[in-house]
Amino acid sequence: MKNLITAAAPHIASPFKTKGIMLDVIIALIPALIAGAIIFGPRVLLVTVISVISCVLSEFVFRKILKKSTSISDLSAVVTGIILAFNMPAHFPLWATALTAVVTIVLLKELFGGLGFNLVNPAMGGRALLRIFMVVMLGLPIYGQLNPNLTFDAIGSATPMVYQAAGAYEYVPSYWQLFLGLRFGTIGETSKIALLIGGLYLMFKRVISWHIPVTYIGSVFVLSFLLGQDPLFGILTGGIFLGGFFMATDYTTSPMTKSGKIIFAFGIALITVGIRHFGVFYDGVAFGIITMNLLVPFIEKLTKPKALGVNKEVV
Amino acid sequence: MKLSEKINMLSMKSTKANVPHHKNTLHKETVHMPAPDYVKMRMDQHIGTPCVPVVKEGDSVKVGQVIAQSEALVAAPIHASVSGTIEKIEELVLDNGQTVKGITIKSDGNQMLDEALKPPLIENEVDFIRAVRESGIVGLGGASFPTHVKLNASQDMKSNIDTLIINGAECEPYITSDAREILENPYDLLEGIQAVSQHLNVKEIMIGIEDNNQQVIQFLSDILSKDRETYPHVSIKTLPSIYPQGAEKILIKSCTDRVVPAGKLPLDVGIIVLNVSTTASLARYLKTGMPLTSRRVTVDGSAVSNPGNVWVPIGTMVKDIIAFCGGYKEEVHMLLQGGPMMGAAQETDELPIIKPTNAVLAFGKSDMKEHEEIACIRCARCIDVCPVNIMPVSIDQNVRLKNLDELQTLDLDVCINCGLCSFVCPSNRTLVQNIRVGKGMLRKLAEGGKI
Repeated sequence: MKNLITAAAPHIASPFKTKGIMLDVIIALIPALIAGAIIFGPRVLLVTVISVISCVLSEFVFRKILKKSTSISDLSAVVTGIILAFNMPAHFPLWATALTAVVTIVLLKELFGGLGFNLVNPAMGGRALLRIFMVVMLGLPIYGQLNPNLTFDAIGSATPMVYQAAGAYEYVPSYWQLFLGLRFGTIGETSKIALLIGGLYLMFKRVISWHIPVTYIGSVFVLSFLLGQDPLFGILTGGIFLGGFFMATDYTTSPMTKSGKIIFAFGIALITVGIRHFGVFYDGVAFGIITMNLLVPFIEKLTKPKALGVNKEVV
Repeated sequence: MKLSEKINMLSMKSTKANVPHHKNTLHKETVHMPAPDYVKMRMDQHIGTPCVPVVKEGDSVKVGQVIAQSEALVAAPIHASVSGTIEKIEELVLDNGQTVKGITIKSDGNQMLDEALKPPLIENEVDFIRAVRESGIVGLGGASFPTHVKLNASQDMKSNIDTLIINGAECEPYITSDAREILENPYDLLEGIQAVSQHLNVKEIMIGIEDNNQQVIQFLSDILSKDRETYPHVSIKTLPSIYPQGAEKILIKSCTDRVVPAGKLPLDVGIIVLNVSTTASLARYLKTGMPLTSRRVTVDGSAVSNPGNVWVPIGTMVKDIIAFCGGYKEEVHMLLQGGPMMGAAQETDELPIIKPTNAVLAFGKSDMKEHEEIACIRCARCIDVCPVNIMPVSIDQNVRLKNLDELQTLDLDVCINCGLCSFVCPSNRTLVQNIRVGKGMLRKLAEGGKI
């Protein structure tokens, strides 16, 4: 009788654990990783591995230095590492990959207290830093070269959106090419079908709910249409799917209430389309998500659920 | 685990909590346990004021004789459950570390009945309430609220009360004692319903049963359709098998769509809720005059050799009940009185069962859950599953930070302690436990104390 536990109820627990959730996210990212490796070549895998290793190692070392408990077994650093790599071009220098990963984990995640406490989605913040510092200041490329073995219509060297903006419509890829991901872009953002498969898997496993991706992608579609743009082109280009399924849905940096998720996703859509339509920078998804990340506490306050029987008068 | 349960867990329903059912003992007929060598009667068999012994060491007692009483309103007398001698009156140490007075009765094995027992004479409502009090009956579903108080409080608001709900939801995993009560003593239940509904003058009576107990629902509805004229106002309400269906406020909402305002009682929306076994016990007392001295207990769990339902004298030691069920078949790691969601973990099996003990569960190592807590990832599962729509994660955070201003806005008092939030938490966080801590903080604050 000496082994009897005397913890407070409940004495049983659901088999769903944080590690399992992270594992599901990793599984859901695999189709896009494979698509990236096909579209941009095997170097994609190298960049991803370096990013993951850098994220995990920097989290491990940082927490050791601060004498905190080791948290790498929750797999969240692996998830950040993969998603961060998805935001890099396939031929990104490996030193820059590792540096971005370390800065992302230390600055955006661990300095805020680690898993569950960061204000901004680390991978999204990492993408923004990468865009501003690596690309603008160091002149590193944003987008990767296509796999030379892959045969498809020659397109110049920039993103489809740039072409459209320049009025060079004859170079714009078809919807079908966009859906498959046969265009320039970062490792994980181009193949919509692969991201959709991963996103549906997460919804099927109830890791994420429909509220954020459906509201976000749907709103971008409608807002693009209202601004006189091609709505289908609007959702198939840029990082709408990667952002909508995998980054805006990050638990820590999105509202916990259902109605809050809808407001949050609509806000991101508004900023995304706004930046695309009126702005000078075209990374609407990243800045939309980062801005709305910061508003999460307020959105949650606004959408606090009504407790059963509160403010109810006796009949 | 059944395949359907496995599929549910793996796929579409994973944000539903999916508390398992494990109603393994549903088909096991109740076995009567002979009087043990001794019983220990705790003085706190009910919510309210504990009783005070009215016997002294060395006295001889018979089954059904009052051995402890209280003058307080919220209390119920305690009766000897075995015949024999009062061996000892001492302080017992409970699982929560507190102590309570207990009376040990050494059984003579004869189970001699108290000659004074006779059916109560009831001529008016005051007689009825007094009889319910003298029966010693309290909420047998686990709540242990003295039944006479529930029925008496209704006196003032009687004209308001239009519905009696009989709680047969039995939503806790493993427990089947109420289901067995219906299957074995359906007429006790129906007679109890009649007595109570006559007293309350209600015309609408619903028996709420979860839809995974189809056999019970079928059995009872056959009886009701056969005896339609005798029980014209009684109907069965089939409830979804979703924990915590049996929680009073949730049950009321499922059965009538009425919402009990926060801080109010079912009475305030015209409803009285009684548990199945409570109601049937009341009928037996009114018929025979035999007060509550024994009850049905579900004995189950991976460490029990022969799980089943056992009819046990109140005050029987847990170890004797387990021994009656063939003893432990493996090393016990968790011993519970009540269900795994809300029951109490025992430090030892040398503690007696009390009136509201509907189950004794013993588990081996393989059934132990992980306890190591990791960071909250804000997945919001606790919010999604909360049956009363509060935000367990936010309460937990503010309790840890002792942020009382924020705590006061989070509706802690609505929490029914069902434990679903802790059950679903993928990071093993002690949510419902900290909500309880938070309630304590706010109570202290209201009393002007320092936190």
